[in-house]
Amino acid sequence: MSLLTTVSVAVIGVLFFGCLLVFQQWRSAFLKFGEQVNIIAFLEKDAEVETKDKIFSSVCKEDYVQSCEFRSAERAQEIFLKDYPELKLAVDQLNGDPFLASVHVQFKPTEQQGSAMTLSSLQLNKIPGIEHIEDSRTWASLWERSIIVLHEFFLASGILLAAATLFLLFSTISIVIHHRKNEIEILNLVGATDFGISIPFIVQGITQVLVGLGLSLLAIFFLTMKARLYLQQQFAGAFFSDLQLFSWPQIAMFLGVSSLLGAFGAWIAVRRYLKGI
Amino acid sequence: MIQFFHVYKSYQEDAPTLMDVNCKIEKGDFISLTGPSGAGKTTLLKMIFCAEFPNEGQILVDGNNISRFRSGQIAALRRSIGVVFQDFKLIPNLNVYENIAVPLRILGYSNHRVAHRVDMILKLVGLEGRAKSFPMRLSGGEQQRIAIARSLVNDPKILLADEPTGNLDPSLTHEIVELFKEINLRGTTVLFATHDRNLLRAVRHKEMVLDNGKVIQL
Repeated sequence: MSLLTTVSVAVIGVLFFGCLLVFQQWRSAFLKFGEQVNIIAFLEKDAEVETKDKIFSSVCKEDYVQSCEFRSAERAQEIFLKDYPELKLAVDQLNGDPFLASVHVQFKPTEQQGSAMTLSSLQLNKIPGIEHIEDSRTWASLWERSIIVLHEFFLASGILLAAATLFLLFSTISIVIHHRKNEIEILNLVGATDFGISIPFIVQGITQVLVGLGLSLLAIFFLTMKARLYLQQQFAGAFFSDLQLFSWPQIAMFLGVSSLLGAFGAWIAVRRYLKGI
Repeated sequence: MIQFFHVYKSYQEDAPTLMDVNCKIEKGDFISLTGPSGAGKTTLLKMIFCAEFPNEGQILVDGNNISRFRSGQIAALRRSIGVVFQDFKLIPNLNVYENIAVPLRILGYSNHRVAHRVDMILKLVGLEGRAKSFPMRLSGGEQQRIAIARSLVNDPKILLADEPTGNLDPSLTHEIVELFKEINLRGTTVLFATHDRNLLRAVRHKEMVLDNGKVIQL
């Protein structure tokens, strides 16, 4: 029974850590993607300086904005011709200057990037002198919402899995207590305290959970190594190809929380039995 | 040392087990608690070590009202009282030494102190050479002596015995009774429950007779 419980705890652990890893990777990918997203506000001719100053004094001063860069029309033309030198003749023959000055607003990589971009767009729309605005707001908002959904899913699954672990421990320890009930009765009659009687069962509960946790972390480690190898071979250089395992502080936290779960499950099993005798 | 004040106990509404029990047991007494089966002897003993609680009345042990004790206080009380049961209540997967040592381990004695006390008690009950044996390999008389040894190892002020010779041959009964006599002579208050009024003929004792839940003689 104890072996079955340990294996069950390991399976629960694999599910939980798998969800956690997916969430962490998704979040990490989102933040990396966030480094590349920005808003570009194209400025009307003859109002460039004034409009630029208004943008720099309002939108660019927000906490969620990482940097603002002003690009003059000449600079825009330079960059364009660097990428497309074959079009130089065509550009020279154009009437007027098709290139516009622009302000590039870069946002800090956070989970609320989508909301930040929306706010900034609203602010920019109120500033006169802006010809038009380009942004990747839609993508950023989608990512942001997915993070929220994943986060809530992860929380809910974490609570369910913790409850399942608690129930498993409680059931296993209850069965062990049943097999040792004569011994417990004798200890109770000769003056052992409830806590003194509980100790070996609490130790057993903690041990079972920690062994299960260890097995699940090992399984996750091997699965992650395989997945990382595959991703790096198939999608080398992509922002989602670098899978990260858990940090040592995270592992210490898992050990601590698991020990508490194991101790608590065992303790309520013992307490329930002792109240009845 | 032990006082009962108007103690009532019933498990069912129409059939009270103990009715208006009033008695006082002094330090060093040897009390034989006699009466037919169902008279309430076991219930009375259980109340002294808080395995049962009265529906009404009070029980004082060394001046403390034990009918209101909580679990921590109950555990402390039981560590100061020795109890011997008819069915021995030994832990089968512990040897004789470890069975006797259980109360001392609970008290947190060091290994050295445990060894000293257990050896002394084994001599008292005449089981010196049996320390490493397991209870199942011993006779009924020997198992009961282990149970008595365990009840004495932490030097209790009170020793309760609930039909300790009930599962033994008549030839062993005398041995056990003599042991209790010796324990009492060393100063321990003994309450010995038995349905056989003649069992303790050879022991100087006071008799408490229970019949239908009432004390009819003390």
